[in-house]
Amino acid sequence: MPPLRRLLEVPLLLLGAATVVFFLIHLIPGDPAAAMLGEGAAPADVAGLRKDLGLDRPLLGQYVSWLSGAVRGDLGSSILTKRKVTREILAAVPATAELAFAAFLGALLVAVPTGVASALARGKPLDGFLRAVSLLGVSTPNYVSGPLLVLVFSIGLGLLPVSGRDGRGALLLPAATLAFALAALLSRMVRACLAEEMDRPYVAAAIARGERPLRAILRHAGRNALPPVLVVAGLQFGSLLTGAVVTETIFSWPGVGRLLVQSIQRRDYPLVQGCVLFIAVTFILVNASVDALAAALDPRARARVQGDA
Amino acid sequence: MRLSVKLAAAVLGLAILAALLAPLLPSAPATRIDLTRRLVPPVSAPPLGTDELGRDLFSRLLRGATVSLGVAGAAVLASAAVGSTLGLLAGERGGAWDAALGRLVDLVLAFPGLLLAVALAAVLGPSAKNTVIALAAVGWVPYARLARTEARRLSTRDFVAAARAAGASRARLLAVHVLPNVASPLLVQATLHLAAAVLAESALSFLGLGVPPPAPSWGAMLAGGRTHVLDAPHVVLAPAAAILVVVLGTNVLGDALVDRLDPARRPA
Repeated sequence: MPPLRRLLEVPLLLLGAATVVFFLIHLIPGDPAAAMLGEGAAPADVAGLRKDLGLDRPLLGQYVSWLSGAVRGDLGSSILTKRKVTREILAAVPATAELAFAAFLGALLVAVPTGVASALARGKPLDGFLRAVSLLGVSTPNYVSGPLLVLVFSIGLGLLPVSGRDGRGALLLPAATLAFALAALLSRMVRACLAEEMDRPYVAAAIARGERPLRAILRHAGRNALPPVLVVAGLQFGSLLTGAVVTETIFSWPGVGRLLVQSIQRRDYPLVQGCVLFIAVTFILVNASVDALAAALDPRARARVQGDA
Repeated sequence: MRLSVKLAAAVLGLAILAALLAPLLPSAPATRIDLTRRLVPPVSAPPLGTDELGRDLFSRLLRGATVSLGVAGAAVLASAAVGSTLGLLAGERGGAWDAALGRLVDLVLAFPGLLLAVALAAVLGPSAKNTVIALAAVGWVPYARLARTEARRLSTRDFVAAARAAGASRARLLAVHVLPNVASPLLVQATLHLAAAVLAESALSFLGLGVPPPAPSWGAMLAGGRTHVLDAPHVVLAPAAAILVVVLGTNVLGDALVDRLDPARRPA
């Protein structure tokens, strides 16, 4: 799909996401207000909350005021803390962003060299070894690698804090947990894309013209292998930025993902809705930017866009 | 067949066998709490020791196979059924149906990773059925895309046109003439999806959003043992190893299936 059309679809997607999140609260079996207050709540309290949340109004009216609130950045108030949902979320954003950038940087630093090395050594023992490690990486979920890292580095060696964001080096373990899986995925992607481009005639032609093989591969094949890698990396960065729910929970990292899990446990549904909407909106916007960037970097896609115009 | 593929098939077969047979065993050891025998290390009376509440870890691991593989398998089947049906219909009918499916797919993909499943599981409440619903609500998309593309391509082919002209109903057309041609990519997708579904089910259970206790699920066992990594690492290592082995095995098998069914990717 040409990138321009994709950009035009962004508002539509945002509207769709807001609609899905609106209806979430109506999927709660029974009376949402009663569910939020838990068993044994006084009927008057339930009625009061229902009124506060606007659940006593017709569905269409609720929907319109939810949308107009969302556009203005007003997503209601937390049931528990009574503070604005938007404020609660914004307070958690820096922690999530810090973790996402650290993990992404770490993953790229590992994935690009290993992926390139794997592609260059195709079929040799080094390639086999790197592919086996990356298969282990993509198959190991965060809730396995996280506790294992804690077991080794915090408890075994006593080097790093078990959880939280305050201790010295607290960022390292959660970032490593996320980076391990991501590096494995990206390394496989780099290998696959580069290996495919390496075999193209234009690389052989460059070598025939007298360029050194390694230089020809990295310069010519590398440029064409980059855009698909970038798209996958961008997608992954989007999901990191939107809160690594499990990893943040394991390490009690005070980001958006943990806020979501906590508000689910506390049945604080306005905050749940706010977190889900915030995460989805960020993800949509990051993806649209990555698409545009990848198109700008890819000579073939650029040609296609001009052809369309 | 390569050794790794044979090994993966054997491991996966064992896990599925355990999942099928575990319900026949007495359920008591998996849920019976014995606080006098908490965190007993492995290689004593119960072969894998006991967990933080004194429950037999080996029994829980077997029962957990039933829960984790059962929920994941049901999610794969539901996703495949819904996704392929929608994809085939949209591909064959085209027009507004096709456009509507495209919008729906874009919408689901606007939520990263597990977010939509987490949100659905959160509002629906924890249960095995709701976990399947939450996983399938996200999982149907790749099947729909595959089925749609193939149906679109095949709907102009002569044998489909001939069947249509002969008066075959739409259901018959899709089920008898189109579906067999899409079966192998759908099967590959289902194999790879099983690994992803096991991971997703465990993640939901880990967050407390999956199958509720006392039923043992591998993810919930991991979460429960997490506070004891120091004094009793076996409580975490046992379910972690189970998840890892099943997921690795499924991925290896899926890769081999891709190589076998897709001539373009067959190793030279």
